[in-house]
Amino acid sequence: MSISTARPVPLPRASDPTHVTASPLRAGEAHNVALVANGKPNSMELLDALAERLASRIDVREVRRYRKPSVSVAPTEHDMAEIAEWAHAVLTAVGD
Amino acid sequence: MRDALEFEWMGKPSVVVVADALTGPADAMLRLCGMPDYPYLVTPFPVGNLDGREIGARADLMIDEVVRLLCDRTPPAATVDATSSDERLVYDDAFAAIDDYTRRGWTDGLPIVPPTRDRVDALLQTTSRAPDETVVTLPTRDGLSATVEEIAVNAVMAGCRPEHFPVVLATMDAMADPRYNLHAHTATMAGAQQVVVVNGPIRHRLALQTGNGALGPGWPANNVIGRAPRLVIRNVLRSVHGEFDRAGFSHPGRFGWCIAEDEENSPWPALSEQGPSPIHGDATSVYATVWQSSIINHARQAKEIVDELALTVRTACDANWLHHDAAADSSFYAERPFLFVTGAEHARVLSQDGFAALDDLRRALYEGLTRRDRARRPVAIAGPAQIFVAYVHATGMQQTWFFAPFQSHNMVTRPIVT
Repeated sequence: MSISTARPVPLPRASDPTHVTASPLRAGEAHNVALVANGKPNSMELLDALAERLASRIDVREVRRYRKPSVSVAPTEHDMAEIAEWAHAVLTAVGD
Repeated sequence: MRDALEFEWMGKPSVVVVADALTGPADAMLRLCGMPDYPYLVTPFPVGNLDGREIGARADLMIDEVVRLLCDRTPPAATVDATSSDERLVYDDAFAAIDDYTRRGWTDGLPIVPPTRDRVDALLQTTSRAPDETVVTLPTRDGLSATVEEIAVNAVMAGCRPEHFPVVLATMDAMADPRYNLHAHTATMAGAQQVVVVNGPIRHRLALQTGNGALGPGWPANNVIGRAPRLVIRNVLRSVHGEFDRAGFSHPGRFGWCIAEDEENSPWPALSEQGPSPIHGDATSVYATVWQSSIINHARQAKEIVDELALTVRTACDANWLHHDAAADSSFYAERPFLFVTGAEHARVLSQDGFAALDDLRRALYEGLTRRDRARRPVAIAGPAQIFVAYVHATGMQQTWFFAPFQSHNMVTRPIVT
């Protein structure tokens, strides 16, 4: 006699059509850049080094540094809201 | 990676730097979010040991690509996955089902019990909760979640009987608490193990082993209750290699690890009563550990045993990035738990020689763990209340086990509802 069993893994999900990448930075404008370090050692140091070099390549008005409360958790709601309001571009490291 | 996607969806062009050792989980996240072609930068692991000059050199290598990704990007189209919800899993017999589940990667490598409808329903009948109720959600995995029914399916596969399911469900409730930080320690290269500790009368009803051998195999209730959450983590929450599990060595404790305390013989309160919100009666506590250390000592004086426990743990924590200089800067630090599991002889000597009260033992251990000497840095522990002591009636070896915590987690305890 045959047996029928349940699926133990989730079905593939349909993607959210709103999940698309942002448009590129506009040339000729000054940009606010957020650095988001995930808390791993040297993550902010690497972002600082990238931001320093970025400023010599594009017009950077201001850089703000954010550090996540801990590795593998999201940034705080306060930081997310500020980045949403203020930043034009974001650099994050060291990701996993 | 998830953060960068979040910023992209806000309309902020973003660049994420990923360590090369972690591209597997990063790619899994992109597939999960329907953006498999999202570009990111890769840098060799580790980054944490680089000096300023070396970091600058890494930045020099990456900056051209950073500029390109911010200023000259063509947004890839979102991918829509095809679903196959009508797939039926029908087999000639149980062995065929086990073979197919193994081939599909739906097991931990050991045989499973085929989750037939009647077996799954038998577990679901032990709870009043709806089968489609979401029990655990991982926001950092794009909201990947597990329902009561999905947990029941995997519990059947683990070998659980209906009477085990309330413990499994309560354990998943505990794992769902953000303080437990399930995503992190089921993805980490450290290969952390998720340890379940059961307290209360239910230990006797389920014949959970609390004596000799209690940390190992051969005890059906312990073994299947420990295995069930691991199968949920693997199958439903996708902690598998190539997706979100990036364990370097991994650990046999990841087959499942359920310990039941011998409360009746313990000189101290049950583990479930040691936290800031004690739970009396049937309860399950979840703890994440990255390594363990045994301390065997035949001393007859408690102070000698305490000193030996502290020295061993301080030494091992110094060597494993759990010392204060490396691991005190985290939102999890204040409540990061440190779990000792003592056996019969150590508990007897300690409790009869000055440490009948758990708080006295905690203070003495804390003092020993945070003592600074030339060779070892203090352990990254916030205070005496972060020390937890569980008891199993293991006899003969005059031994205690220390379960080193995964850095970014807190222990969580939940009542078991039957």
